[in-house]
Amino acid sequence: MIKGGYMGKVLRVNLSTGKISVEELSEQMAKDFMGGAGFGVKYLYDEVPGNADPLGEENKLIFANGPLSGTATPCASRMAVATKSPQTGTAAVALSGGYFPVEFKYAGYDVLIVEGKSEKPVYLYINDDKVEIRSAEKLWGMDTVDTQILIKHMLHNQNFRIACIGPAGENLSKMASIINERRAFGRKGVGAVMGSKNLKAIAVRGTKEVPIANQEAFKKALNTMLATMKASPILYSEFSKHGSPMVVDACSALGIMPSENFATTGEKDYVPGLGAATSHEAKIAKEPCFRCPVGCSQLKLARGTAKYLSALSDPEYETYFSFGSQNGVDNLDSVIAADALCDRLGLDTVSVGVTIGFAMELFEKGLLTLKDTGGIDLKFGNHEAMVDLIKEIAYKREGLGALLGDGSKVLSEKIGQGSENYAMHVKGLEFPGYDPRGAFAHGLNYATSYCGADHNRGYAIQEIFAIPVPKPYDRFAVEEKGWLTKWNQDMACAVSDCPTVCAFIFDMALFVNGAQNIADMVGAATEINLTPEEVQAVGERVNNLARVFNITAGFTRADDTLPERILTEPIKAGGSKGHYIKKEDFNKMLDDYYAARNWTKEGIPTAEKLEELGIGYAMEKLGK
Amino acid sequence: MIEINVKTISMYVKVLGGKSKQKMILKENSRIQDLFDALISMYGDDIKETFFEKYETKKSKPGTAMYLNGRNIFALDGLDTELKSEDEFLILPPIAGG
Repeated sequence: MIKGGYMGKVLRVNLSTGKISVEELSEQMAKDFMGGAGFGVKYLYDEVPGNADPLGEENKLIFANGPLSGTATPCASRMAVATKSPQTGTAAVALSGGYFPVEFKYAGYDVLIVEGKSEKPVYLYINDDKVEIRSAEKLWGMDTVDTQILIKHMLHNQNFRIACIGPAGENLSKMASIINERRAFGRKGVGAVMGSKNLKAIAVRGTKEVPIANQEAFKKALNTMLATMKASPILYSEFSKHGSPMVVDACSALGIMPSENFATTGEKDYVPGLGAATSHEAKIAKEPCFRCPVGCSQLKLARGTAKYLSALSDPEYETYFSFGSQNGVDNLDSVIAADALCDRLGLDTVSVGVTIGFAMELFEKGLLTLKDTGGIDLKFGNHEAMVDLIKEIAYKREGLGALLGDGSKVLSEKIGQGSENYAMHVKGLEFPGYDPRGAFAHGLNYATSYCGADHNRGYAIQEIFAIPVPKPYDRFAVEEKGWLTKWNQDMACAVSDCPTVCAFIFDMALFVNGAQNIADMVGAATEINLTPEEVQAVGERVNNLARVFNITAGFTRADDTLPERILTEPIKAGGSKGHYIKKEDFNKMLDDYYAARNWTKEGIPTAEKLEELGIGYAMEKLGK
Repeated sequence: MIEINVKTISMYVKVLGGKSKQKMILKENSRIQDLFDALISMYGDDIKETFFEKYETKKSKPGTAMYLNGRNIFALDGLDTELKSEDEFLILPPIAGG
């Protein structure tokens, strides 16, 4: 029996039948998959066929908290949503912080499974035990800001927290996100899945408490965690002040901040326009997630460029890259405006920015013409065109918006002519802001993560920030990167994605004792006592089960790759000059990765590995 | 003699004489430790306190990153790594996130 940490309930809503039911969360599920991405991937594996149409009735949206969400644990504000991604066709998770996630838990649930498809636009009303499917016909067509404001008015209650889609999700853009306040379940088109179900929003109010199984042990573990965070050389002293945009300076110094669709990485200096000092000047306030003592999210106001005056948003490093250097843009105001617009329209900033940068290269190469762009001079650096394009993408109706609206992979398939060689995605998911030619394990994670080029599924902190855990690594080395990538992926999943604790505190404070910290905190909250090794095994279990799902969806070793540009073109200048990942080196790293995972040379999990992880039942789906 | 390009960013610029880029001239066969000795003689003991937990034990401060030609020196031979002319030595302050 579950004693604490969890609310013990799974809320299931079928939008086709209107049936709403509540199920018990099993203790075995809690032990094996912990929460968040673990619950999401497990329910996806169990209930959605690998060959399901991501935008069809068979697909599901599984929202899940972790056992520490809503407790006194710092930075545990988060929640995962899992689904079969329309962008990648893989199992996918997107995580968000903010306030919606814990509000859902306070309503008395650990998991929300949305299945089926409503005939008409609806929103889900959850007020503790009272759950209803309500009409959203009036809301359909609204952006995410107005949707949230209006639902609160309609409910005569400003205390509801809302997650919703904007026009991009309604129009089934494969780059659509789900927004709560200014935070996003950002990547892999999760907003399109919500749109395909005609589900505009989820409005939640919760008044329950999360039980703690062992208060004394919890306080002790919490004090240790807080002390470790306080001792960090980065977390409060720097990150709290500057947030993730300070990474512009570090990645620029290392020569890995991608520029102009990765064609000119290292050749141009974006620090004067986008670096920490400039960024800090635009800061007006912090906007922390629930119970976060760090407050890295920083609101910035555009005050310099007439077109963007009064734009207000909290762009992270990835957005400085995607709407900055990726587009050859060093105008911070335009990055702020682009970020605000993406949130409002419900779009993923990374995918949209990378896709526009790709279109700019196509334009400069003559593969997109002035006729295609409707007369827009879509050269690198044209930030006005960049910002104007965002709305067209969200509506996907005609011209460039229709062409770009589903991301880089679809765009390259439409254009052809060798453009796939520099369409910067893996499995359809666009690259984040690190050129893997200067961080090989980071690149191997893009190639092998279960949801495409997703930095958060296995961030190589050893290569990008020289954090010496488990030991120091040379970022250009090929040796040992297979093992390291596995370690990074399993740890990220185990210490962040499953307990739904912010990854930043592990990168900056708890990198040495991350698994021990989660073992102590989760153990005290739930009395499910795991060793640090067993915590890490949760991450490995999830990564293996997601891999099996992807194999049933048709993915093979051939899909675990990187764009030709990364494998053949050396970086021409800067701190990573001359480097690229040679094909033979990439294949060696991939072989090593599969071997470290105890998968076959074709990337299929072995029966021995699945049995060891207690998921031997997955062999059945592999046809063995 | 060999010439080494020393680079840094952010709050470390002040410690390195207010310069984000500078050239240091060292004897042939010098190691990174010799480079630090030269920097300390130019800019004082602030260098030790800023970059090292204890300079004598060659243990750098957690979060401080040092690269020789882009490679993490602690994946090479640490402060014993040998230098050659035109090498680029980069020191980054604690930065993470993204």
